[in-house]
Amino acid sequence: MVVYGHKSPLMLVSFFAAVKAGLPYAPIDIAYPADRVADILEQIGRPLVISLSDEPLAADVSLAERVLGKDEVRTARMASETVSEDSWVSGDDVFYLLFTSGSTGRPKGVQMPSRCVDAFMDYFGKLFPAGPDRISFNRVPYTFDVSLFDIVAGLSAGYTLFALESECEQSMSASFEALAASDLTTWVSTPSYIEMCLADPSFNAQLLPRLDTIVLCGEVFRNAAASKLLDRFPGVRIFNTYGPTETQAVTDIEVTREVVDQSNPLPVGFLNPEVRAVIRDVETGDVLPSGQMGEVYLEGATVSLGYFGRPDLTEAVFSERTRANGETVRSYKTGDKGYLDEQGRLYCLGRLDFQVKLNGFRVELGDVEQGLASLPSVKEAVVLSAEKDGKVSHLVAHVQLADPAVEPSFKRGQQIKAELRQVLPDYMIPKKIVFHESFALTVNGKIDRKALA
Amino acid sequence: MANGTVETRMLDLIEEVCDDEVIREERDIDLFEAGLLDSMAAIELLVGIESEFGVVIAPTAVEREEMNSVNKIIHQVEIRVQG
Repeated sequence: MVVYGHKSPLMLVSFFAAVKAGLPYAPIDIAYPADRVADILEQIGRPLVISLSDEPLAADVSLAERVLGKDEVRTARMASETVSEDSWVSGDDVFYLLFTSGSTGRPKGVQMPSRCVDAFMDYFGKLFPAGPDRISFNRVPYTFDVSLFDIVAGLSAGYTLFALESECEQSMSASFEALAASDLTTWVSTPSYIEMCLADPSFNAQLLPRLDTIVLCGEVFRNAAASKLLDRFPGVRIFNTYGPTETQAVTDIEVTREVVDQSNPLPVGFLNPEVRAVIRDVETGDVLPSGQMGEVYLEGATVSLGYFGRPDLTEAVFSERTRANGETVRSYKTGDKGYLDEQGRLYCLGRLDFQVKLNGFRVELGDVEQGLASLPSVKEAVVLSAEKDGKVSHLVAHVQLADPAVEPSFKRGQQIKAELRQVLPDYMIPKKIVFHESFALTVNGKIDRKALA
Repeated sequence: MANGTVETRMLDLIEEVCDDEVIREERDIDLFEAGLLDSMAAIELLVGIESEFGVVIAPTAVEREEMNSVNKIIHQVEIRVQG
């Protein structure tokens, strides 16, 4: 069942209605362009769609089995029939389906089974202790796994979720006003978002007097930001966490002054006791000892089933492994570069492929390249990421136009961006477009990406 | 401080943040609409203005509409440098 909309209580109600009825749910954000929405509906295969946006569904309704709106959800809620626990999703049943950027230009749906959600809930319960009037900042759109910290571990511990209206998100002063009135006890966001807030001197303990926990996830959390946070929020516990959508967050560490002073970059943390990180040599696949850098493999209780309807993609990165004690565990090859230290803390130092994290959003550069190449005016495109202070700041598209007679210009670039917005979400649109008459090739006849950087 | 100096230094700063020299010509386009500025980059610009001119513009003190073009951004800095 697809739930279409953006940050509303009815979306959450619909998620839980789905899983109680034994159906997995897949959230789709209204910010997605029509093509992407249609692609996801096609991949799932005529799902039931609950459309909670004020705007109509951004795709042909024939791609859905049925489209239900707000009124139908409200009416169904009034009926308040209880559903027997027997029909709830459980065990290997898929609980949710999150679509993430795919390198071939099509989003891929990560299928998270119910037992993984249980394991994640148990693990992150420690960040959401029960208490009177606990309120958590559900900042990230439901389409991203970071939003699941408080949806799964928070709601189950009786937390109230606080979100910003999208109009409010556009203005920092409106956001801060809303935050000041929020009574937040727990903050969950990407490091990018909190860094943005930190640029304002009024972002401090006076603004959020009840705040006692900050949970950050989704990308690199830089020491400078950690240090500022410790200054601005004395006594507040700050946690850095890590985990791809395919396993949910699997590590955590409390970032204290001592941690900030001792390690740069910051560790992403100690592992969930139900999950193990194995570092393998990128070339040979051999398991490496602590301190040595390799590819991060994650094994254990929260490793998902794989990609919906894509056994080819699933087999490439998921496998079953037998541990020394005879136990079989599921393993996920993350594509992240990292190492474990003597204490068992994991460090992540970028990617081994063309996936980047841009302001916390996971983007496959190939996805953007395919989007560009699908435009009639573009012959070929290479997309690179630009970095600032150890973090991706934006995307740069190198484009060869289909018609060599067309004069490249700023206007032409703007037109390409406008066309690209029809096929890709806003956060994937390159900031800069550079035109080339031709691309330099490597000895293997491929476009020389290094020459463009 | 001469006006020209603020303008030149601001153009350098905006070009660096937007990663496009086109901002030198297209001074009235909406940088957000053009995809040259987003909320994250806008903050980077404010931080840059503080270190370059010692002028503090808190992100909550300006709305997007007041700083969405090159000319408007320069204006916001000029009124603070002169004031």
